[in-house]
Amino acid sequence: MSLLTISQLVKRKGNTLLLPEINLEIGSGQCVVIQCNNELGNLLIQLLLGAVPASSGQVLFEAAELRHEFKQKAHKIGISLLNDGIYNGLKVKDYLTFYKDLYGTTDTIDIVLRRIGLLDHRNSRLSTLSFSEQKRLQLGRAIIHNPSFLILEEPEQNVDIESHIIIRALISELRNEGKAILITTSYLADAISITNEVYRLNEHELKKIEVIDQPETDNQTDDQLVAAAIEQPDDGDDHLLVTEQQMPQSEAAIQPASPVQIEIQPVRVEKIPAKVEDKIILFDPTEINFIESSDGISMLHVKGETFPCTFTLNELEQKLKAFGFFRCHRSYIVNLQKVREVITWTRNSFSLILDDNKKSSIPLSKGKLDELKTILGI
Amino acid sequence: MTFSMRRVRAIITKDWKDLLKNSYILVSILLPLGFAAMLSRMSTDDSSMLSMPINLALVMTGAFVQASMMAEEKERSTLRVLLLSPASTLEIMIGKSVLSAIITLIVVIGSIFISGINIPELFFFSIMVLLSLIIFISLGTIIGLISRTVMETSIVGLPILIIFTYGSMLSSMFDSPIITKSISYLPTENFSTALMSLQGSGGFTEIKWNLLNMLLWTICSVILAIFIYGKRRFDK
Repeated sequence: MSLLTISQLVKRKGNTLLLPEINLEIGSGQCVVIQCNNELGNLLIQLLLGAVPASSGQVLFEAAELRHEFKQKAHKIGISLLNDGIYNGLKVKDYLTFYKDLYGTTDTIDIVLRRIGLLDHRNSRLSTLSFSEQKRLQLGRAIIHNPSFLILEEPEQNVDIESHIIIRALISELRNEGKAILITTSYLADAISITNEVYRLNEHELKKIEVIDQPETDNQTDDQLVAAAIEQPDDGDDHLLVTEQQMPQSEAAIQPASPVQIEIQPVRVEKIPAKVEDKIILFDPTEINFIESSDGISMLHVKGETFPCTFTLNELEQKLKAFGFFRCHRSYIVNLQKVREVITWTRNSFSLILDDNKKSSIPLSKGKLDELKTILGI
Repeated sequence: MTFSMRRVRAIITKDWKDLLKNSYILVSILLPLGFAAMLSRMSTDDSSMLSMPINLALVMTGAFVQASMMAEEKERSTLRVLLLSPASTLEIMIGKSVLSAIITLIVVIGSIFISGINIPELFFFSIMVLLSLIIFISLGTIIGLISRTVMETSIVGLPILIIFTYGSMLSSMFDSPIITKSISYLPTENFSTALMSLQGSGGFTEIKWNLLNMLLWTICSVILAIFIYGKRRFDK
């Protein structure tokens, strides 16, 4: 049974679509990572928690709408967001004890401290902790009440390698305990190495990325490393030594993991480059509405904007044929998926009307009409 | 939504530990005490100055500790974490109010001892302090609700501080009947006059109008605080 059900969640502002329709189910022991930019990820979490009202759709947690019953469910949900603040004046133990009392749990804070590898810092002030240690503490705070569902925003962003290993191990431990976990991250590499259930979210859609099975051995090496990392006393010079020793090891553990696992079942990696000032932009062929040759330069028309492409029209025709593009005119290639109408002006003049915002009209040469008809099977 | 004393207690404990390390709040606690010590050495005969340390303690500590504790939660974005926990805004605000009330009471008692004011009628005096406490913690709540950072609490709160504590000085400075009249309606002024009447062996009959005035201020400030809370939610 799924713990969290997101159905048809959409956020619009005026006419612009801020968040595309999202349908997602997360059950116990399931870890879902959504790879997206930070802004979208934050918006999604705000929508889930009901901090921002959704335009439509609903978020069900244990079959109750989360937005309305958040406070009743709060003790079952652990949340760690990217910009959460901490009380700098408090000590680590006081900080965790505060949240422990707030949630009214009876577990001791030492269990959590051990899991996040901060047992040595029990009596340190939060202001003396490093960024990575603070991040780990935030994660510890989110799990202090033993929640059944976790929302983690960018849990691994900018943390040091030691914390990275600890956090990674913590997430897999939590998952094994049967907790449902939702993670947002900007990095695809991170996303794929955390779990097999990776979604990619952009302004247009939420798409599942197929990840090929990961070898089981990786988890074990990770765990061993964590144990090593926690056992080592980290103060002063020792600490430096430890990290230096670990660096190659842990890199070795992580590096093979990522390239091996990143076996995305690709549609076909064929990108069309366009040059804008110093940058090269890569377009998905399907994004392109049509290509126009003006003054010998191929101009890509993408979402109402034009970008100069380095390829000639003939080269593009060869490349794009497989994607359903059609050379409809001496100086035009059109994406047939986007064609809405074929208009016959006179016996010898035709136009294609596209299904884009501007309803662009593209000339179709007379000689190409029959070819088009055979392609479309008219 | 269930109200839980355990959560309120957790918030009080946390805030207490946190503010011991907060120089801004420590200054607003120590300043009235320092002022009281200064005044006791000046041995002034001006009777209006007698209640000054108490008033300063009430305004400075009561309003500012409350306001800055609230603003600080927003500024450090720890408030969001709290709101995502089972704690409700009411519990958070009650926790903070209780803590600032306790601190303010300690500072008031401390400044009475330091400045060596003799309190004639303890019963009426306690009522007056209690009413002022509610007034200024409500005002502090309003300041805390309006401002987003601790910096802003000083900007918003400074006029209030000046008007309420130095009201008598302002009235002698401007020498205009309207200003004098309006300043005489301030709760701090009523507190001073009531204290003076009590010291002049006055009873309830002498101070009843002052008490009424303070009671009205209490009711108004609490209503205003609730109104502003409704308008500018703590969590926005």
